[in-house]
Amino acid sequence: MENAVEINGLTKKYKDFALDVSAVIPKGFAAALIGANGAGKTTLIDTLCGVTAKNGGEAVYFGNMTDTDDDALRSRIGYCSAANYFPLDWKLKTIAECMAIGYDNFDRAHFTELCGRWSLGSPDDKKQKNMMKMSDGNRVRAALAAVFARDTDLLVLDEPASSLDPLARDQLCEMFREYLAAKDGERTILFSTHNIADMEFATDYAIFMAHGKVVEQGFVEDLKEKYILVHGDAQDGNKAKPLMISYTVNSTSFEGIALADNTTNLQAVGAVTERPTLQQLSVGILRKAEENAGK
Amino acid sequence: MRESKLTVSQAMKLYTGTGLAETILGLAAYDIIFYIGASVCMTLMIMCGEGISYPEAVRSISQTPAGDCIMVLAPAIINVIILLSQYGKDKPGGKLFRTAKGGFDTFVSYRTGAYISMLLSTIIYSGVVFLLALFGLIGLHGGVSAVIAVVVSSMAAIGVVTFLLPIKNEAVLGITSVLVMFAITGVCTVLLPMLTDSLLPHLVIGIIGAVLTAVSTKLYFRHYRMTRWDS
Repeated sequence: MENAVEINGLTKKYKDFALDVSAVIPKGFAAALIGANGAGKTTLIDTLCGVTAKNGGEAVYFGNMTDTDDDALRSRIGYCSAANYFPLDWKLKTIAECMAIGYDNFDRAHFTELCGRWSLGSPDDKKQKNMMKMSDGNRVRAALAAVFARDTDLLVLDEPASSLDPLARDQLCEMFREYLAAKDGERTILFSTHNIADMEFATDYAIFMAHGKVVEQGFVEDLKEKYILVHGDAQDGNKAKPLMISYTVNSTSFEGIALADNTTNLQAVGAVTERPTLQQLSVGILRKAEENAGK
Repeated sequence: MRESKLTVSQAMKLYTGTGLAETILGLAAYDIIFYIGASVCMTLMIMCGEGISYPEAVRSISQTPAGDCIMVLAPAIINVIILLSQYGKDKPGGKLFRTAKGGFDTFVSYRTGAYISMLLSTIIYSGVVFLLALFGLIGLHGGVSAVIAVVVSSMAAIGVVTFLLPIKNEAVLGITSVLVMFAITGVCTVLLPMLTDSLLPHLVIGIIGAVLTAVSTKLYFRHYRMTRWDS
């Protein structure tokens, strides 16, 4: 399988935080970057897109490109930050004009179509609101419409769903599918998210981050085979706990995740095992990462 | 290796939403409106306060450097705002511009355009103010000397304020820049005409200003790239 991006020991150091990441982003899929606040998702995304300079390591894009200052690479990556992507005095018309100047592969007609789909109006309308007067959700929609209107090979989106309502999140998942399908396996998406449940449908590959490092990664279907969701009565919790990766208990029941290899042993102590959702998997993996960091 | 470069006007359009010519005319218009508004207010206050006619009030203003001070204020304030617009990563649009065509070269083109805009808009503004004074619509104490002083002092002030741009604290940078801008333009527009009728000091300040702007801009680009763009 080909990778859109191979990240080899990419580092970025701040006074109180260090990013040190090795990961792959497989070509042709939507990869979710999942982690708690401060895990390093935005730093990784900004470093990958050349917004922030790395301190060490390397990211190889599309097999042989490494220089994020290279316009040939820039034009293949569609980047969208979590907030304030555009100056606040810009209108849709300004966005269309400026994106056409800043990026060779911007398609104004496609932008107009996407703005219409998201009820933002048209860049050709006489009366337009500027970004300052738009709601947070509409600002994100305008930014996403502008990025999706570029003919890119890799989309890197920082928290694209955070300000969107559930319907818009569903539309975003649909846009992911359309984007990936348009070039039949040649396009890739990397996005960070906290809304794991809403974005699960659009996620093929997951990269879990904690404290600046990747703690787990893989295809969602493979991860759901690798791990199991475990729950049961609180009285059986102590017997199940040593076999589990993450564990929480209340007065009546316990829950957590474990490696699928332990299924038989866990069932033998009275626990119930199930296939986890990505949300449950995320909570379990990130909780374990927090426990490890606290030791 | 970069292949595509944007022109100064395209870079201006990308960063500010308006091209070079549009920006120059826009800034000149802001300066003129600011000046006319403030000047007319002052003239009306004198008319009402002293019970004299408009031409008499204009004549009264032209006997003191007060009108010249107002003339300095307009471009000084607007030029400081332009100089402080550095589009850091944490500012709206800052991250977008870092991924656009040309990268840092485009930022350099944008800033170059900003400097050209400040200078040309100030020249246009000064010319218009001179014409207004010529027709007796406003009072100007220093005459041609004051008009030239606005241009050369703006240039010197832009050069000096550019040296201050590496200051990270935005409040300190803002206050210091305004103070420096006012001090330089005030000295050139109000004090110099009081001391001498010769235009030689203006010429010297203009040359020093041009050199300062060239040196400070070069240093600024190097510093900005190292500490902010590539950080």
